Order: sequence, then C-alpha cells, then structure tokens
Amino acid sequence: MEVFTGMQKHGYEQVVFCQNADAGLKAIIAIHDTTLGPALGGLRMWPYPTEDDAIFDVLRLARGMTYKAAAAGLNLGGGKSVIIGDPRRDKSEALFRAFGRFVQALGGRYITAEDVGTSVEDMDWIHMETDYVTGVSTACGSSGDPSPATAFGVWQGMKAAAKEALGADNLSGLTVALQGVGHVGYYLARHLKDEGAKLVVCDINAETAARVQTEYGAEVVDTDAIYDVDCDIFAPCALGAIVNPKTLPRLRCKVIAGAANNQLLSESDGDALTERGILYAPDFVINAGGLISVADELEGYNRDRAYKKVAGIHGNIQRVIDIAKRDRIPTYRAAERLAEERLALIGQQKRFYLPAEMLVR
Amino acid sequence: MSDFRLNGGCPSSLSGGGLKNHMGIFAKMAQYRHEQVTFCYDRVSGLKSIIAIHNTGLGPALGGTRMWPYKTEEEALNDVLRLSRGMTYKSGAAGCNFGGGKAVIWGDPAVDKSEALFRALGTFVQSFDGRFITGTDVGTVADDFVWARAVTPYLVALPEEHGGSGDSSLTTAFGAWHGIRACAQEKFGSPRLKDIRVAVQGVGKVGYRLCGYLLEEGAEVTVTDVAQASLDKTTAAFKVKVVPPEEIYGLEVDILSPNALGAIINDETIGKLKAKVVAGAANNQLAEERHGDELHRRGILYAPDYVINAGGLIQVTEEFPTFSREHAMKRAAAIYDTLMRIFAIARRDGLPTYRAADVMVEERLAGVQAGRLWVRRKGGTSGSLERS
Repeated sequence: MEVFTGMQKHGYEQVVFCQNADAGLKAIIAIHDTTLGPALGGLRMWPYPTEDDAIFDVLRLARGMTYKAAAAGLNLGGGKSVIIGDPRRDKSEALFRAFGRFVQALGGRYITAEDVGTSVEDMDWIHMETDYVTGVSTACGSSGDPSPATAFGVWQGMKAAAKEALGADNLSGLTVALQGVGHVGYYLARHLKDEGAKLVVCDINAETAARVQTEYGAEVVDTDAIYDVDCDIFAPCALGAIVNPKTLPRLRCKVIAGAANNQLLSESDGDALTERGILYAPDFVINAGGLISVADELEGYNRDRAYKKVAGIHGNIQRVIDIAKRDRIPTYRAAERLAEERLALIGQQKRFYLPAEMLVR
Repeated sequence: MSDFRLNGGCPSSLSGGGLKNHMGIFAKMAQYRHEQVTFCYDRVSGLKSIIAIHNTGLGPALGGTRMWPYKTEEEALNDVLRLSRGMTYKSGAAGCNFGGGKAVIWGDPAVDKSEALFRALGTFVQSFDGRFITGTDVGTVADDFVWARAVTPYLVALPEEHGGSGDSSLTTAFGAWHGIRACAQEKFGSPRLKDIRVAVQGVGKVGYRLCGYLLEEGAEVTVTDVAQASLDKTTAAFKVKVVPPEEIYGLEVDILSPNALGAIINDETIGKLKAKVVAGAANNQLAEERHGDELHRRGILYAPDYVINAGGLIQVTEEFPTFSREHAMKRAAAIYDTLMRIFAIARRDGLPTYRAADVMVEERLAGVQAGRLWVRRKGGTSGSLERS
C-alpha cells in the first residue's frame, strides 16, 4: 500500500511506524488533523493479517476521530493507533511501555486511550512512559468507565431528535426499541425509563436483557425481531451496519438515535432513511459522550463540568438537523458538514498571530 | 552543491542494498532495527516527506534532508532507511553523541521548493521535539532551512548569518588529512607524508584544501578533476601534477585519495590500482561490499569512507551549544585515532577495514546505553541542544 496515496486522499498529517524488536512492538500511530488541537484517539490491538490491513484501519479510524471531536465541539484533533498483535497472547509491560515512549516522543501531538483489544491496565503501563494517555485506571486519576457518559449524551441527542421528528418536548409515552443493553444501552434504559418512555429491548445475552426487564419493566424481544418493533425511536447500541438494505424495509420508527458506531452500512442507506422520512441522529455526533468525558480528564476530571459538556450533544444534534434543512442534505452528510465547517472556521482563526507564550493551552 | 551535507554515506554492509522491493514497511524496519519511520504530508504546501530514525541509543537522531524526485514511494522509503542507518554508523564512529536519522522530501528540487514546503517540513521536525535534528543534503541548500527556522530550532548547518557554523569543507579536508596520516602509519610505519606519492581524485572544495595539507607535509601530489575550473584553481595555488580522470586509478603512487564520486572502487578500477592505500573524503567509495573484501585480499589498506570523511558532521555537531572551530578541528584530527582503532579491530578479528568500522560502532552502541542507569535528571536532552 502506498502510504502517501492514502494520506493525500483525506489530508492526513502524519503516520508513524514504531518498532521495538526487544519488546516485539509493531505499532502505527496516525494523526489525521490537528487544526483544533492535539489528536486524541484510542489504541487498538489486533492481529491484523497484513500490514496493509493495519494501515487501512488506523487511517480510517483516525479520520473518524477528527470528525467526532470537531462535531462535539472539542478542541482536539483526530488520531488513532494500532498495535499489530494478538491481545490474548502478545501483551506485556515491555510492549506497552515501548509504545508509551513513542507516544511521548510525539510531545503531546497524539494522546492515546483504551480501545478494542486494550484495557485500563494497558493504559497504566503506557502511563509509566508518557503523560499523553487518558482512560487510565481510576486509581491513576481517570474518570473510569465512560459508558454512563455516553448513555447520557445519547439520551440528550435523542430528545433533540424526538423534538424535531415527533414534536415531543420529552420522551414520556414514546416507545423506544433498544438494541443491546449491556453497557451503554443499560445506562440509557434508565434515563429513558425515568422520563417515562416505554422500552422494548433485545440483547444477545439473555441475562442482560432480563435485567432490564426486571429493573425497568422493559419488554424483551428476539434479537432479530427488534427491527420490526412498532416504535417511535430505534436506538441501536450494539452492532455497526445495522441500517442496511435488509433491515431498512422492516423499520417502523420515526427516529434512529443510538450509541452504536458506524450504524449505516453505507452512505446510500443514510439517503434511504431520508427518503423514508426517518430522522437519523448521526452516530458519531450522538455517541460522543464518552469522548467528551475522557477529554475532560486532560484538564483534570470534573464530573459536573464533564456532564455539562456532554449535555451539549442536544444542541449538536439540533445543529445537524438545521444544516440538513438549510442545505437539503441527509443528516449523516450534515454531521460531516458541521465538523468540516468548524474545522475551516477555527483553522482560519489560528492564522491570527499570537506569540507561543500567549497561546492558551 | 553544498558541503554541509550530513550525507551519511552508509556503512559498507548496507551499500549493496539489502532492502528488497515489495517488503512491508515493518519488515524493512525489522531488517536493520529502525526505531521509527514517520510519513509526513501537508495538503497546503504539498509536502511529502519521510523521516526515518534508525537508532537513538547515543542521543537525538541527526541527519540531513534529501530532496529528490523519487519514482516511487518505495524508492524514497528505501533511501531514507538506508541513509538514516548510515548516519547511526557515521555519528557513532565519529564519537558524536547523536543517533542516526534522515529525512527525504519526495519532490523535484528544481521546481517544487517553496517557503510553505520548508516551513511545513520544519513543523514536522519540531513535532519530534528534539529527537530529530536536520540540515542540508543532496537537493537542499542551507538557505532552504532558513524558512524552516521560523518554526523549529532543531536545525544545523544554517547559513552563517543565521547561526550556522559555515563552510565545513575545511574541517572535512583536515579530518581526511589526519585519516591519511593514520593510514601511512599503519601501512608504511610512519604518519609522516614527506615524499609519499598521493593521487587526489577531485579537487573541489575538499580536495583542494586537502592538497594544501598534503603539500605542506612534503607529499608528492598528482590530481585530476572533470571540472577545468577546479583544476586551474589548484594548479595556480599548488605545485601538483595533473592527469586525465581515467588515468588516476593506475598511477604509480602510494595513496589513492578519492574526493569526488562514489562507487569508484569497482570491478573495472580495482585491478588497475597500484596504490597501497585508499583514503579520501568521497562518500560510498565501494561499489559493493565485495570490493572492500577484494581490497583486503590484495593488501590495500582502505580507510572506511564514513569514518575518514566525518569532519563535516563533526563540525555541525559542534554547533551546540556554541560553535567552536578550534574544538571542531581538534575532534576532526581525532579521526587519526579512530582509524587506528579500526585497524586494530581489523587485525584482531581478521576483518576488512570496512567491516571493522561497523564492528567498532556496534561495540560502542552496545557499550553505551544512555539512560539505562537511573540518575536524577534536570530537563530533557533537548535542553542541552539550545544554542546559547
């Protein structure tokens, strides 16, 4: 794979190949865009079959982080890193400390965090070599599990979408079909119940579903039946690509608003939702609560401040809807435009010269 | 062409290539244990640059920035990997506390240079926060880096009026002269060059100054060059014989001193050599490693290029914290001692000198493990690199 070809296509700034033979480390750090601030993004550990797979993945994910942070109103850029290896077999203190030194070597331009295949314990090892890591264990000063913050943000975004599509000032009396109630979905269910929504849920784990049934009086359906539920809001909080040509004709909701990543199989599915009059709350905008919360750790975590910022997702979803109406485009495109417009506008502001010592950190 | 080139040449063991095409990036890095390869792109200026850090065991990576219209990305990658490793060896042999690195800009120096391009490069250099320090190389000139200076202090060999140490050809020539004396000691039993016959190939900036040192000691010097102007200047200043370029290899001399092209020790020339010593400031003198073996077999003493031509590198490493020409010259003179150590290793291990040089550096790298023992530190390494 030609690295520069991939970089040029979407304007990546920097791709760093890191090797430490003694520790067995092969890692790639991708920095997509630092217009708004240092690049924040998780470290994924995965036994990629080929190097090209790893490059492709880290580039794709880093760019996603630029959009997510920009749309969330954060002063952070987009980055991501991958370690090529099997998380079940290849982890060691030396591996993560070697990685930590490479993160430190970027001087704060990239800040790492937990992701698929890595854990809080791994972040603690990384933290031994660098200041530029978030999501370390609570003992080391972290905010802990970001799922509650993500759920809170999804709830806020869902209210904004419901107001637009259903004219509802709150979710009381509305039916929400929740796909996945393990982590984020579980916390989301509580918010919805508290507001008086009716819950229909599913989960691949029967016990997990049963818990929500007992605690919040949710109706439980088969995992496949969730697409057919006659509801106001469909909230995907598990798998990606669940909006696809197979599920689309079955959906009987007015709003899609959930925490899952990459909900659309392809962009054309986003267009189809618009045609069908289903309001889609773009995934990377509505599920940014965890990121916002983790980002707050960079200033020394303050729960009240973090949740106040997460509540801003309500306004972010409104802005996406406004742009969609203004430009007559589907909401998934409007979300990208929200991010791109902020990047362009704030990028311009940075041309105003300030001496380094006068810059706000 | 600039004389400030941080042109590592390369350890002879790498000169023949070894980096195959169509290998993955990590496979290439694993082959010679490169630490880090960074692809840098700036969509506004169009900068495409690869910065390779081979080894930072001795200190921050130092190496020039080459600008070249590579045909493919892989060609650029292979070049930067090869050259960065060469810098580890060159710095290591010169006794510098710097590691090996190199940058390449993928572009045509004749048409693609701009302020924006070099500022973007400078920003990426700055992103290493002192782990990588650069300057001019093939395709770039000192003035290009004045643009980069606006955004990073991690530059060497800037124009003198911008704090650089200036022309390094004198230091290079001075170091090469001391290297030649070491060869004379090893081969002829005395470092004195009086009446020693030296064939100097190339009398550009370095070769010209080298002639001065040799003649001062009473050596008998024959020169050649493809540029008539350089020859005219040399014959006007010094009492030397001139021969056509192709005749330089077969001269009845004691020492052949290549100071121009690379790959001049090759299948065609090696049989012609009557000299007992090959010692000069040119980069990459051996066409392939086996030519080093062949010199060894024929009993011709070879002064490894990256060792004897390190004067320019030594000069720029003396720019921190404040440049002292006196100190730079002193260290360039120590190339004599370095070569004597290499010759001793060659005898000890029965190796050709080009291999013995690599062994010396590898022994230094293995012995010096900066930062392994815990001590209280004040500030980082970069703090000591600020110019005063």
